[in-house]
Amino acid sequence: MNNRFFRWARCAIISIFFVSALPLSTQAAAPVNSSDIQTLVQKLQKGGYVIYIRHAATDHDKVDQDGTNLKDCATQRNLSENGRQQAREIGTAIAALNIPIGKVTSSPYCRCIDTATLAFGKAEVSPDLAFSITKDEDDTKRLGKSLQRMLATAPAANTNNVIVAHTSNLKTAAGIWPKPEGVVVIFEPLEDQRFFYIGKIGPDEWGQFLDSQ
Amino acid sequence: MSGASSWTANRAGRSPDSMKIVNKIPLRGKFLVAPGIGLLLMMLMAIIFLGAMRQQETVFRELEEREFATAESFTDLYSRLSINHNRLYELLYSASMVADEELIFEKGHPLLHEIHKIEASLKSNISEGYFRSADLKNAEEVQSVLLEYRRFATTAIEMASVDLELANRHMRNASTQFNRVNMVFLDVMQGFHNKVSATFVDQIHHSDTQLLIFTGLVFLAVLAMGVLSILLSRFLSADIDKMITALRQLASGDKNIELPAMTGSDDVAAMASAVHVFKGTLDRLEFQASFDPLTQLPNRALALDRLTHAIKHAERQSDLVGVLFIDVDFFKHVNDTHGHAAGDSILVEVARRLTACVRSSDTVARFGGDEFAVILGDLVSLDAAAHIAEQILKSLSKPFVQNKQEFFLGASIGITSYPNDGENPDMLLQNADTAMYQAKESGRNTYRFFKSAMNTHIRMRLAMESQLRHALEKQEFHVEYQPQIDITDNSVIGAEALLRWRNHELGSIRPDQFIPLAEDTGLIVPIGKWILHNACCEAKKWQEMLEIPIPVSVNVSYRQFRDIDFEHIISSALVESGLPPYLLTLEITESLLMDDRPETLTLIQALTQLGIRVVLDDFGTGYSSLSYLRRYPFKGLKIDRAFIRDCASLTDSAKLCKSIIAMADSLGMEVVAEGVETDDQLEFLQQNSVKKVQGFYFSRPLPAHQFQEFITQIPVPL
Repeated sequence: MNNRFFRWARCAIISIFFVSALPLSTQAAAPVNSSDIQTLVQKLQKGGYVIYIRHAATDHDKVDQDGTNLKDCATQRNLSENGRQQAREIGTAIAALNIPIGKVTSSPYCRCIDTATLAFGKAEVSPDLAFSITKDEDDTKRLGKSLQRMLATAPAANTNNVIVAHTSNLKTAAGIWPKPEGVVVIFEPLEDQRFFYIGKIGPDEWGQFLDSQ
Repeated sequence: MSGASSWTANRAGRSPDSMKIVNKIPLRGKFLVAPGIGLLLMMLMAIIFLGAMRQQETVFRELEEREFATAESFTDLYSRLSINHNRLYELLYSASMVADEELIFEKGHPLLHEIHKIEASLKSNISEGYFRSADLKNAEEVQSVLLEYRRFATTAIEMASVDLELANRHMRNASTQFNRVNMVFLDVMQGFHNKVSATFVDQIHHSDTQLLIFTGLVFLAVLAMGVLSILLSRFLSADIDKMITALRQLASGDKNIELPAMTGSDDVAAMASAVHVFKGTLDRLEFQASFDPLTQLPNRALALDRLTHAIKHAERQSDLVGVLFIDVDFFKHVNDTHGHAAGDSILVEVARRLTACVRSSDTVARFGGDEFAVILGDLVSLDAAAHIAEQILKSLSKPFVQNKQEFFLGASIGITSYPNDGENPDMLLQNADTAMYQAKESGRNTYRFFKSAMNTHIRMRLAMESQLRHALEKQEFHVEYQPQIDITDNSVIGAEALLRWRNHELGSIRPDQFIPLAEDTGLIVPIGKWILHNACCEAKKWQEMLEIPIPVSVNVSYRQFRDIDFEHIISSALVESGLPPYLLTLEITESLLMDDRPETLTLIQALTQLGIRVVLDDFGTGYSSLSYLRRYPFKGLKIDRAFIRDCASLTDSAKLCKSIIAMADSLGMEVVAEGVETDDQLEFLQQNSVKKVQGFYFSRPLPAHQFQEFITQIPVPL
């Protein structure tokens, strides 16, 4: 728990550092706990947020073999059965909480598309969300910028946009390392291409929350 | 003439175009050809050598720029990759202890980017062509193992976020892959090494080959220069040898020389041309030495040579050789009266006619003056020689036309034949000359075969000529005077001075023997002067002795009359003797008048003005013409003794004498009859009113002292 705290703290510091670089980011990230999740859900229920989801748990015995042909799922590290369950649970939880979902955008990787489809029943694939860890420096930056735009883009009224993707992209775009697999990170798009980190919900926290409801 | 054609055949012909170009190079230039070509070859080789050096330099520079640069960048990439891998390894090694996946990502992501960069550098190196086609396979292998390595590394970093154990496993895979990369890199480096070595070996081999070729070229150049020098010197010395031979031949009299081509402007051609000019001069000199420049006929020397050859030929063939010695009659007269130009053109015409009379194989030569000779080779008989002589006489007796005036000449020909009249050319010519004089003395315009007796006569004549030259200084001459009688009263009315010569060796010589000789030799001029002086002095004595003075008559030959001093000689004789001019009578012959020279008339008029009496001697023998008598102021004429001799016996002569006397009478001229020896003659003359006579009938010519006695007595008929 101690470790975790430190990690979050650092995430927050990095987040502040990053966002403070943007012209109007003034607020620091709020610490998250179960009561905070309540608050988060309430906010999401109103809409106007961007929900970033790292793909759910994967089969670690497999590795991505070919980064070029992403349509062939056989060459990729795909969702484990547990991961598929996670995805379904996330989708069920969000639906149960009446969180309105607008546009769902996914990385071309099969594990992301699967997560999005299992959770929301739909996924719009964007190559800009491809796993940037395999890319060189320039592409990594480009994908980071692209993700920043997505995070700063306000969703349609009373809805929340969903992005299903990987770790490194978000680390580059927002300085946040989304851990573990299946974590949900919430951002509030602001004016002038800015966004604000609101909080995050771990994959195991949804059930807890639902139980408490 | 025959020598001129022998050399011409040698100069034309062999001169092709290439030779013309060579000929245009001056001799000095030709000597420079071999070194020049050598120099060119050397320069060519130097250029080739420099080119080879530069090519080698280029090869090495390319090697440095491309291969070494590639190797360097490749090594650089390799070292970057090694460093990167170590970091990656350390990162994941530390991860197993720290287990902070975000930290691992943060540190690992730049390491992955570095691998990307290394891959990109490698790719750009390949696309820039640093790898040759042979190395492309290696390059592709490097790329693929590197890609695989990155994948492992990426997975290791990625897995660190989910499972550190897995991450470490993947890192081990990456390390294994890195070893593979390592080996491939080493292969490529080995490839570089091999390639550079091979290039060096190639280049060294190439240089060796070039050095070999270069050495070969040097050798060939030296060889070519040597061969060229030998050829050139042969070519040059061949021409010079030719000219040396030609000059030696010319020196030894051989005219059949061969000269190098004289075309072109080089020194050899100039030398050849000089030798050619030299030969031309020799030819001309030889021609001048052998031919008469006026008539173009062979001269005496060449005629002797031809005669020698003809004799040698005749000796083998047992043939005859005929020699005709020709003297043109009356030529001296033409030359003296009409000048040398006229004489020369007549000689040319004589030469032409003579040449026309003989065969082309015979030789017509001019010996000088009016003497010609004809050499008849392969003569069958003496009749043939006589026939040719007759033809010559016939040809030369035709008139010669000069300045619209006709001249009648003639010839006297002496003929000898080998072997009859002499064994050698000199004897044959000398004897022919003798025979010619015989012909002349026989009345001219005829020919005579040589008889051995003729030689005596010629010896006599030659002796006489040599004596005559000294007769004046030896005072061998004296003058006799033949009285001229007035037959009406038998008184002495004049005297003819007659020259007498008594030589201590030859005795007394008749005037008709030595006077022509004196005229031929020109001695008549001093002799004539002497007799004039003597006669005038004698007449002066007579004047002092007698109450009625009598004139003295002196014969004047045309030679004397042509003498520009003649008038002066006359006047000084008169002055020195003190004789009045009217007591001097000059007797001249018709031959003096034939040329109608205005000077003759002027002189006769001048003499007449002085008071001297000029009379025409021997009238009727020459081309007696009435016009002479009219034109010139003669005081009288003398009827030739030949008419007087026959006037009493032959009616023709009598008629002639009568007409002459009548003619002279009508012209107011005094007539003198000479050679009167008989009563009949005297009677004829008396009947025809001739007053003045001279002859043996009255008195023979008398020595001066006897004549003085004779005139102081009253003459009585003998």
